[in-house]
Amino acid sequence: MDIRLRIRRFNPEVDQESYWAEYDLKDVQPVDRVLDLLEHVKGHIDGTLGLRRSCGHGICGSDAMRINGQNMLACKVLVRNLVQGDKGTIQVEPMLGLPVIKDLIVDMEPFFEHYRAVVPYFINDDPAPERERLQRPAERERFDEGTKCILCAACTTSCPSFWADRTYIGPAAIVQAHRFIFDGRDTAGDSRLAILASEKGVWRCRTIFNCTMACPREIPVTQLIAEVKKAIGKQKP
Amino acid sequence: MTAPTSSLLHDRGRFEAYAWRLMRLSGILIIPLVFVHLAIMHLFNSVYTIDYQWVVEKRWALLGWRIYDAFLLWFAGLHGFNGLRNVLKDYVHHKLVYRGIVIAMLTVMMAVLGLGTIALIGAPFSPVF
Repeated sequence: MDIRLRIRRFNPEVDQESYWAEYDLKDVQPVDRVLDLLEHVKGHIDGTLGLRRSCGHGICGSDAMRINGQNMLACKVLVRNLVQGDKGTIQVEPMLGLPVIKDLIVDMEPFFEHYRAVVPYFINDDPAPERERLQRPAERERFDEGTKCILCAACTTSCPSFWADRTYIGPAAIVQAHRFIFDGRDTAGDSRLAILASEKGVWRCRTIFNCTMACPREIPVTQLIAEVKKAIGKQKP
Repeated sequence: MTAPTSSLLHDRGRFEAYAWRLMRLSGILIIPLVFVHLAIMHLFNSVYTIDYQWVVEKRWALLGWRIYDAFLLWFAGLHGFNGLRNVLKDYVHHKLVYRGIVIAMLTVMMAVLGLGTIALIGAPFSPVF
Protein backbone atom coordinates (compact mmCIF):
# COMPACT_ATOMS: atom_id res chain seq x y z
CA MET A 1 0.00 0.00 0.00
CA ASP A 2 1.04 3.59 -0.59
CA ILE A 3 0.36 5.80 2.39
CA ARG A 4 0.71 9.54 2.67
CA LEU A 5 1.43 10.22 6.34
CA ARG A 6 0.55 13.75 7.41
CA ILE A 7 2.08 14.71 10.75
CA ARG A 8 1.38 17.89 12.68
CA ARG A 9 4.86 19.11 13.55
CA PHE A 10 6.18 21.79 15.84
CA ASN A 11 9.66 22.48 17.11
CA PRO A 12 9.55 25.35 19.63
CA GLU A 13 13.22 26.16 18.97
CA VAL A 14 12.63 26.77 15.25
CA ASP A 15 8.94 27.13 14.43
CA GLN A 16 6.59 30.02 15.15
CA GLU A 17 3.54 27.85 14.42
CA SER A 18 2.82 24.19 13.95
CA TYR A 19 2.48 22.89 10.38
CA TRP A 20 1.58 19.73 8.45
CA ALA A 21 4.53 17.70 7.17
CA GLU A 22 3.82 15.00 4.58
CA TYR A 23 5.72 11.76 4.08
CA ASP A 24 4.97 9.35 1.22
CA LEU A 25 5.55 5.78 2.35
CA LYS A 26 5.75 2.83 -0.09
CA ASP A 27 5.12 -0.87 0.52
CA VAL A 28 3.16 -0.33 3.70
CA GLN A 29 1.52 -3.51 4.92
CA PRO A 30 -2.17 -3.45 5.97
CA VAL A 31 -1.18 -4.99 9.30
CA ASP A 32 1.46 -2.35 10.04
CA ARG A 33 0.63 -0.20 13.05
CA VAL A 34 0.61 3.59 12.84
CA LEU A 35 3.48 3.44 15.33
CA ASP A 36 5.47 1.42 12.74
CA LEU A 37 4.92 4.19 10.18
CA LEU A 38 6.01 6.88 12.63
CA GLU A 39 9.11 4.92 13.58
CA HIS A 40 9.90 4.42 9.91
CA VAL A 41 9.76 8.19 9.40
CA LYS A 42 11.90 8.81 12.46
CA GLY A 43 14.41 6.05 11.65
CA HIS A 44 14.75 6.48 7.88
CA ILE A 45 13.40 9.86 6.75
CA ASP A 46 13.60 12.49 9.48
CA GLY A 47 15.25 11.74 12.80
CA THR A 48 14.06 15.02 14.31
CA LEU A 49 10.46 13.75 14.63
CA GLY A 50 9.44 13.75 18.29
CA LEU A 51 7.05 11.15 19.67
CA ARG A 52 6.54 9.17 22.86
CA ARG A 53 6.43 5.38 22.85
CA SER A 54 7.42 2.79 25.36
CA CYS A 55 6.00 -0.72 25.39
CA GLY A 56 4.49 -0.58 21.91
CA HIS A 57 1.77 -3.06 22.92
CA GLY A 58 -1.09 -0.95 24.24
CA ILE A 59 -0.16 -1.34 27.89
CA CYS A 60 1.86 1.73 28.86
CA GLY A 61 -0.35 4.31 27.14
CA SER A 62 2.51 6.61 26.19
CA ASP A 63 1.75 6.86 22.45
CA ALA A 64 -1.79 8.22 22.63
CA MET A 65 -2.33 10.71 19.81
CA ARG A 66 -5.00 12.06 17.50
CA ILE A 67 -5.13 9.84 14.42
CA ASN A 68 -7.53 10.79 11.62
CA GLY A 69 -9.32 13.06 14.08
CA GLN A 70 -9.80 10.51 16.86
CA ASN A 71 -7.67 9.79 19.91
CA MET A 72 -6.02 6.37 19.68
CA LEU A 73 -2.87 4.55 20.71
CA ALA A 74 -0.54 4.53 17.69
CA CYS A 75 0.60 1.02 18.72
CA LYS A 76 -2.95 -0.41 18.70
CA VAL A 77 -4.34 0.88 15.41
CA LEU A 78 -3.48 -0.93 12.19
CA VAL A 79 -3.23 0.74 8.79
CA ARG A 80 -6.04 -1.46 7.45
CA ASN A 81 -8.36 -0.03 10.12
CA LEU A 82 -7.79 3.45 8.67
CA VAL A 83 -7.28 2.95 4.93
CA GLN A 84 -9.17 0.74 2.50
CA GLY A 85 -7.71 0.00 -0.93
CA ASP A 86 -4.15 0.41 -2.22
CA LYS A 87 -3.51 3.98 -1.21
CA GLY A 88 -4.67 6.52 1.30
CA THR A 89 -3.79 9.25 3.77
CA ILE A 90 -3.32 8.99 7.52
CA GLN A 91 -3.25 12.14 9.58
CA VAL A 92 -1.49 12.23 12.95
CA GLU A 93 -1.42 15.10 15.42
CA PRO A 94 -0.79 15.59 19.14
CA MET A 95 -3.68 15.22 21.58
CA LEU A 96 -5.75 18.38 21.97
CA GLY A 97 -6.06 20.37 25.17
CA LEU A 98 -2.51 19.85 26.48
CA PRO A 99 0.48 22.08 25.67
CA VAL A 100 2.64 20.70 22.84
CA ILE A 101 6.29 20.26 23.82
CA LYS A 102 7.47 19.08 20.42
CA ASP A 103 5.73 17.45 17.43
CA LEU A 104 3.53 14.65 18.89
CA ILE A 105 4.77 15.06 22.47
CA VAL A 106 2.45 16.92 24.83
CA ASP A 107 3.03 18.13 28.37
CA MET A 108 1.16 15.60 30.54
CA GLU A 109 1.64 17.53 33.79
CA PRO A 110 -1.79 19.29 33.77
CA PHE A 111 -3.36 15.86 33.22
CA PHE A 112 -1.46 14.30 36.13
CA GLU A 113 -2.25 17.29 38.34
CA HIS A 114 -5.94 16.49 37.88
CA TYR A 115 -5.22 12.80 38.47
CA ARG A 116 -3.52 13.57 41.79
CA ALA A 117 -6.44 15.81 42.82
CA VAL A 118 -8.75 12.81 43.32
CA VAL A 119 -6.26 11.17 45.71
CA PRO A 120 -5.98 8.02 43.59
CA TYR A 121 -4.64 5.59 46.14
CA PHE A 122 -6.03 3.19 48.72
CA ILE A 123 -6.97 4.74 52.08
CA ASN A 124 -7.99 2.76 55.15
CA ASP A 125 -6.87 3.71 58.66
CA ASP A 126 -8.15 0.50 60.25
CA PRO A 127 -5.44 -1.90 61.40
CA ALA A 128 -4.57 -4.26 58.57
CA PRO A 129 -5.74 -7.86 59.09
CA GLU A 130 -3.17 -10.61 59.47
CA ARG A 131 -3.29 -11.78 55.82
CA GLU A 132 -5.24 -9.40 53.59
CA ARG A 133 -8.46 -7.38 53.30
CA LEU A 134 -10.81 -9.91 51.77
CA GLN A 135 -13.33 -9.05 49.09
CA ARG A 136 -16.04 -11.04 47.30
CA PRO A 137 -15.77 -11.38 43.48
CA ALA A 138 -18.96 -9.31 43.07
CA GLU A 139 -17.49 -6.51 45.21
CA ARG A 140 -14.33 -6.55 43.08
CA GLU A 141 -16.40 -6.50 39.90
CA ARG A 142 -18.08 -3.28 41.04
CA PHE A 143 -14.98 -1.23 40.23
CA ASP A 144 -13.32 -3.60 37.77
CA GLU A 145 -13.66 -1.36 34.70
CA GLY A 146 -11.79 1.52 36.34
CA THR A 147 -8.79 -0.68 37.12
CA LYS A 148 -8.11 -1.07 33.38
CA CYS A 149 -7.14 2.60 32.98
CA ILE A 150 -3.56 3.13 31.76
CA LEU A 151 -3.56 6.94 32.14
CA CYS A 152 -2.92 7.55 28.44
CA ALA A 153 -5.09 10.72 28.51
CA ALA A 154 -6.94 9.71 25.32
CA CYS A 155 -10.29 10.22 27.09
CA THR A 156 -9.60 13.54 28.79
CA THR A 157 -8.07 15.10 25.66
CA SER A 158 -11.02 13.98 23.50
CA CYS A 159 -13.50 15.74 25.80
CA PRO A 160 -14.97 19.01 24.42
CA SER A 161 -15.72 20.15 27.98
CA PHE A 162 -12.00 19.80 28.77
CA TRP A 163 -11.05 21.65 25.57
CA ALA A 164 -13.31 24.52 26.62
CA ASP A 165 -12.24 24.58 30.27
CA ARG A 166 -8.82 23.12 31.07
CA THR A 167 -9.58 23.27 34.78
CA TYR A 168 -12.30 20.61 34.36
CA ILE A 169 -10.93 17.56 36.14
CA GLY A 170 -11.63 15.33 33.13
CA PRO A 171 -12.83 11.77 32.56
CA ALA A 172 -9.57 9.96 33.40
CA ALA A 173 -9.38 11.43 36.92
CA ILE A 174 -13.05 10.57 37.51
CA VAL A 175 -12.44 6.98 36.38
CA GLN A 176 -9.51 6.75 38.78
CA ALA A 177 -11.65 8.13 41.60
CA HIS A 178 -14.44 5.66 40.71
CA ARG A 179 -11.98 2.79 41.15
CA PHE A 180 -11.51 3.73 44.86
CA ILE A 181 -14.98 5.17 45.61
CA PHE A 182 -16.61 1.83 44.81
CA ASP A 183 -13.93 -0.29 46.49
CA GLY A 184 -15.56 -1.43 49.75
CA ARG A 185 -12.17 -1.74 51.46
CA ASP A 186 -11.37 1.94 50.95
CA THR A 187 -12.74 4.37 53.56
CA ALA A 188 -12.21 7.75 51.85
CA GLY A 189 -14.97 7.44 49.24
CA ASP A 190 -17.11 10.25 50.69
CA SER A 191 -14.19 12.65 50.66
CA ARG A 192 -13.48 11.82 47.01
CA LEU A 193 -17.14 12.33 46.15
CA ALA A 194 -16.97 15.74 47.83
CA ILE A 195 -13.93 16.60 45.69
CA LEU A 196 -15.72 15.49 42.52
CA ALA A 197 -18.90 17.37 43.50
CA SER A 198 -17.03 20.65 43.24
CA GLU A 199 -17.50 23.16 40.46
CA LYS A 200 -14.75 21.68 38.27
CA GLY A 201 -15.69 18.08 39.02
CA VAL A 202 -18.19 15.71 37.43
CA TRP A 203 -20.81 18.39 36.68
CA ARG A 204 -18.77 19.72 33.77
CA CYS A 205 -19.41 16.40 32.00
CA ARG A 206 -22.05 16.76 29.23
CA THR A 207 -22.38 13.03 28.47
CA ILE A 208 -20.86 13.54 25.02
CA PHE A 209 -19.36 9.99 24.96
CA ASN A 210 -16.12 11.04 23.18
CA CYS A 211 -14.21 9.62 26.14
CA THR A 212 -15.88 6.22 25.85
CA MET A 213 -15.14 6.09 22.12
CA ALA A 214 -11.51 7.15 22.63
CA CYS A 215 -10.60 4.75 25.43
CA PRO A 216 -8.14 2.16 24.07
CA ARG A 217 -8.99 -0.11 27.02
CA GLU A 218 -12.71 -0.04 26.20
CA ILE A 219 -13.64 1.33 29.61
CA PRO A 220 -17.28 2.58 29.62
CA VAL A 221 -16.02 5.96 30.84
CA THR A 222 -19.29 7.88 30.48
CA GLN A 223 -21.12 5.20 32.45
CA LEU A 224 -18.57 5.37 35.28
CA ILE A 225 -18.91 9.16 35.38
CA ALA A 226 -22.71 8.78 35.59
CA GLU A 227 -22.28 6.35 38.50
CA VAL A 228 -20.18 8.91 40.34
CA LYS A 229 -22.81 11.60 39.64
CA LYS A 230 -25.50 9.32 41.05
CA ALA A 231 -23.40 8.56 44.12
CA ILE A 232 -22.91 12.29 44.75
CA GLY A 233 -26.67 12.80 44.40
CA LYS A 234 -27.32 10.14 47.04
CA GLN A 235 -24.87 11.67 49.52
CA LYS A 236 -26.39 13.38 52.54
CA PRO A 237 -25.89 17.15 52.45
CA MET B 1 -3.80 8.40 56.78
CA THR B 2 -6.54 10.99 57.02
CA ALA B 3 -9.36 11.77 54.64
CA PRO B 4 -8.15 13.25 51.37
CA THR B 5 -8.52 16.86 50.45
CA SER B 6 -7.55 18.64 47.30
CA SER B 7 -6.36 22.16 46.79
CA LEU B 8 -7.41 22.03 43.13
CA LEU B 9 -11.08 21.53 43.88
CA HIS B 10 -12.62 23.26 46.84
CA ASP B 11 -16.19 24.33 46.03
CA ARG B 12 -18.47 21.70 47.56
CA GLY B 13 -21.96 23.14 47.13
CA ARG B 14 -24.95 20.91 46.43
CA PHE B 15 -26.45 23.18 43.78
CA GLU B 16 -24.91 21.39 40.78
CA ALA B 17 -26.15 18.01 42.05
CA TYR B 18 -29.71 19.36 42.26
CA ALA B 19 -29.34 21.04 38.85
CA TRP B 20 -28.21 17.73 37.33
CA ARG B 21 -31.26 15.97 38.77
CA LEU B 22 -33.49 18.73 37.46
CA MET B 23 -32.03 18.24 33.96
CA ARG B 24 -32.69 14.50 34.02
CA LEU B 25 -36.20 14.82 35.43
CA SER B 26 -37.27 17.71 33.19
CA GLY B 27 -35.64 16.03 30.17
CA ILE B 28 -37.70 12.87 30.69
CA LEU B 29 -40.93 14.78 31.29
CA ILE B 30 -40.45 17.12 28.32
CA ILE B 31 -40.40 14.19 25.85
CA PRO B 32 -44.12 13.17 26.19
CA LEU B 33 -45.20 16.77 26.78
CA VAL B 34 -43.54 18.00 23.59
CA PHE B 35 -44.64 15.10 21.40
CA VAL B 36 -48.28 15.36 22.47
CA HIS B 37 -48.05 19.13 21.94
CA LEU B 38 -46.57 18.64 18.45
CA ALA B 39 -49.19 16.03 17.53
CA ILE B 40 -52.08 18.30 18.59
CA MET B 41 -50.67 21.38 16.92
CA HIS B 42 -49.33 19.92 13.68
CA LEU B 43 -50.84 16.46 13.08
CA PHE B 44 -54.43 16.69 14.31
CA ASN B 45 -54.71 20.43 13.67
CA SER B 46 -52.91 22.94 11.53
CA VAL B 47 -52.41 26.66 11.01
CA TYR B 48 -55.73 26.64 9.08
CA THR B 49 -57.76 25.37 12.03
CA ILE B 50 -55.94 26.88 15.00
CA ASP B 51 -57.26 30.36 15.67
CA TYR B 52 -58.37 32.51 18.60
CA GLN B 53 -61.70 30.70 18.92
CA TRP B 54 -60.06 27.26 18.82
CA VAL B 55 -57.59 28.21 21.56
CA VAL B 56 -60.34 29.64 23.79
CA GLU B 57 -62.82 26.80 23.31
CA LYS B 58 -60.60 23.73 22.94
CA ARG B 59 -57.65 24.59 25.14
CA TRP B 60 -58.17 27.46 27.53
CA ALA B 61 -61.68 26.36 28.54
CA LEU B 62 -60.29 23.17 30.09
CA LEU B 63 -58.16 23.62 33.22
CA GLY B 64 -56.32 20.36 32.44
CA TRP B 65 -54.88 21.73 29.18
CA ARG B 66 -53.84 24.94 30.89
CA ILE B 67 -51.98 22.98 33.57
CA TYR B 68 -50.45 20.81 30.79
CA ASP B 69 -49.20 23.90 28.98
CA ALA B 70 -47.89 25.37 32.23
CA PHE B 71 -45.88 22.16 32.84
CA LEU B 72 -44.48 22.34 29.32
CA LEU B 73 -43.56 25.99 29.84
CA TRP B 74 -41.84 25.36 33.16
CA PHE B 75 -39.96 22.19 32.30
CA ALA B 76 -38.77 23.49 28.91
CA GLY B 77 -37.88 26.86 30.46
CA LEU B 78 -35.90 25.43 33.36
CA HIS B 79 -34.22 22.76 31.20
CA GLY B 80 -33.28 25.27 28.54
CA PHE B 81 -32.06 27.88 30.99
CA ASN B 82 -29.91 25.44 32.93
CA GLY B 83 -28.50 24.00 29.69
CA LEU B 84 -27.53 27.47 28.54
CA ARG B 85 -25.99 28.19 31.96
CA ASN B 86 -23.86 25.04 31.61
CA VAL B 87 -22.66 26.05 28.15
CA LEU B 88 -21.83 29.50 29.51
CA LYS B 89 -19.89 27.97 32.36
CA ASP B 90 -17.72 26.12 29.85
CA TYR B 91 -16.77 29.22 27.92
CA VAL B 92 -17.07 32.22 30.26
CA HIS B 93 -14.30 31.86 32.82
CA HIS B 94 -14.41 35.36 34.28
CA LYS B 95 -16.54 35.05 37.42
CA LEU B 96 -18.08 38.53 37.34
CA VAL B 97 -18.95 38.32 33.64
CA TYR B 98 -20.44 34.87 34.17
CA ARG B 99 -22.50 36.08 37.11
CA GLY B 100 -23.74 39.11 35.19
CA ILE B 101 -24.89 37.03 32.22
CA VAL B 102 -26.57 34.46 34.49
CA ILE B 103 -28.44 37.19 36.39
CA ALA B 104 -29.63 38.68 33.08
CA MET B 105 -30.70 35.22 31.85
CA LEU B 106 -32.40 34.50 35.16
CA THR B 107 -34.35 37.75 34.93
CA VAL B 108 -35.56 36.94 31.41
CA MET B 109 -36.44 33.38 32.44
CA MET B 110 -38.41 34.50 35.49
CA ALA B 111 -40.27 37.06 33.38
CA VAL B 112 -41.14 34.48 30.70
CA LEU B 113 -42.17 31.79 33.22
CA GLY B 114 -44.03 34.31 35.42
CA LEU B 115 -45.96 35.98 32.61
CA GLY B 116 -46.65 32.62 30.95
CA THR B 117 -48.00 31.15 34.18
CA ILE B 118 -50.19 34.19 34.84
CA ALA B 119 -51.55 34.02 31.30
CA LEU B 120 -52.24 30.29 31.53
CA ILE B 121 -53.47 29.85 35.08
CA GLY B 122 -53.91 33.04 37.06
CA ALA B 123 -55.14 35.85 34.89
CA PRO B 124 -58.83 36.76 34.85
CA PHE B 125 -59.87 36.38 31.23
CA SER B 126 -63.14 36.88 29.40
CA PRO B 127 -63.04 35.73 25.81
CA VAL B 128 -64.18 38.31 23.31
CA PHE B 129 -65.60 37.08 20.01
